[in-house]
Amino acid sequence: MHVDIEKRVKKVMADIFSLPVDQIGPEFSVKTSDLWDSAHHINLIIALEQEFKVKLPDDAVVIMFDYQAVLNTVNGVVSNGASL
Amino acid sequence: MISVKAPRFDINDDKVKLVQWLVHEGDQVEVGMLLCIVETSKATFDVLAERAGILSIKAIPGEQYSCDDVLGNIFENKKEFLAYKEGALQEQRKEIQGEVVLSKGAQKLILEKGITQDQIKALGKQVIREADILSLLSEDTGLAQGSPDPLSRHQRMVAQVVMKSHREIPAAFVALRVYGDRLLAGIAQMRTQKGVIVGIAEFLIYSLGRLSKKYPSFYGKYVNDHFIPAGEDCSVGVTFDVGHGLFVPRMPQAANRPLQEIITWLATARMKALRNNFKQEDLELGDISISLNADKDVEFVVPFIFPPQVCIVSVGSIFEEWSQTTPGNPPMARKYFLLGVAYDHRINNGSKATQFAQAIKRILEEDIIKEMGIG
Repeated sequence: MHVDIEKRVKKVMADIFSLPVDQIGPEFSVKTSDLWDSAHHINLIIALEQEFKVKLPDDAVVIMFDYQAVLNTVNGVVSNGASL
Repeated sequence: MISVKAPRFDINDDKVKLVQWLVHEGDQVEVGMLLCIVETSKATFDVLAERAGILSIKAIPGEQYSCDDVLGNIFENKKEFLAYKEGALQEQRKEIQGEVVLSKGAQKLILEKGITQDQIKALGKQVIREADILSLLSEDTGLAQGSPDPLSRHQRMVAQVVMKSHREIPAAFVALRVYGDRLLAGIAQMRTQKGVIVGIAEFLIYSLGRLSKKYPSFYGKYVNDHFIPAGEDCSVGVTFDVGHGLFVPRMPQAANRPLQEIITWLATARMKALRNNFKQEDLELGDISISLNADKDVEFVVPFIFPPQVCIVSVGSIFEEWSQTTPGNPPMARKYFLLGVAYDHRINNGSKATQFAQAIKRILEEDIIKEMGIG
């Protein structure tokens, strides 16, 4: 896992959910955050795609409901070089 | 090199008119970039770049072209572009030899700006100087220096709808505060217990569906000075703006939809908005619309009504206030959002609009919690 990707994912998620970066981590999920609703979820996808200039797979984004899943999805796409 | 060809949009239209170039001769273009606008007898269309490279313009704004005519060419690099231009200029020199004399400055500009042989002949001069070409360029309405950024076709369509709305609909607006603690607790419960992520939007669609029979004058269309109510069932349009334009897909048969179906529909619509792949039938106008404005710090917006609809309901993002709900008890934090109803004043008056807004508020604050067993 590239450290830079992890940092950037945390930064994007912190911006979207208006939280300090240090509150984004393995525990952060739809189950632990009141802020993670369906509107913020789509905003998160848009922000991640803009940040990494990639298109995240549709089947992944509809189940990407915790920090680790977000990080794994982004890392997988970026590593495969699937840019927009 | 690949050619940019006049596209065919309709089997009945063999010709298109070039309305405007949105890029300049010699510009670097990227895949998907908007190059020019053409129009048929029915509508205007964007022509996009199919590859990256340097553009050479051939077609002239205002002229008609047959489908598949070459409007321009895209070259792989500047060297290839300049070689083509030099060759084209030599051809032009040969063809107009004896007819006109080109000064060196004029030749340079012709090369740089892609002036066509017909344009040169149209000047009607035997000796053409640099000033003549500059004069020709200044008349070119499509490429004027310093002209404002062009609008995309989609944004032009949005502009038309907004202008029609403001021109034709005498709209009024009422906003009220909805306390969302119980609803948000219910949403959190759905997340933690079922792993389903929802938001206020899903519940608002649900609420509007349930109220269509009780408040029919907010659901329908106003056409030729007559209001046509939605009838037995209603469809609810939801606005999406995810960066490449405003879309308002509609959810059909919203009056009796179970919440789960609404959740699935909205998730699918959001993905379609994100990927820009709505079908025409998704975007037919509903009987009422919802404007979602959940971005941080947005209290509320006053949306425009999509003609010929007569109402649109808006919600802003969630805020927190400290207030004393029971005398004698300490203040407590409460979450709220603002609900707005923009309505056509020809059909409804303020008191009725307020009743409608209060009915939505009641469902969101109380009824839905009981109905769904959440919160």
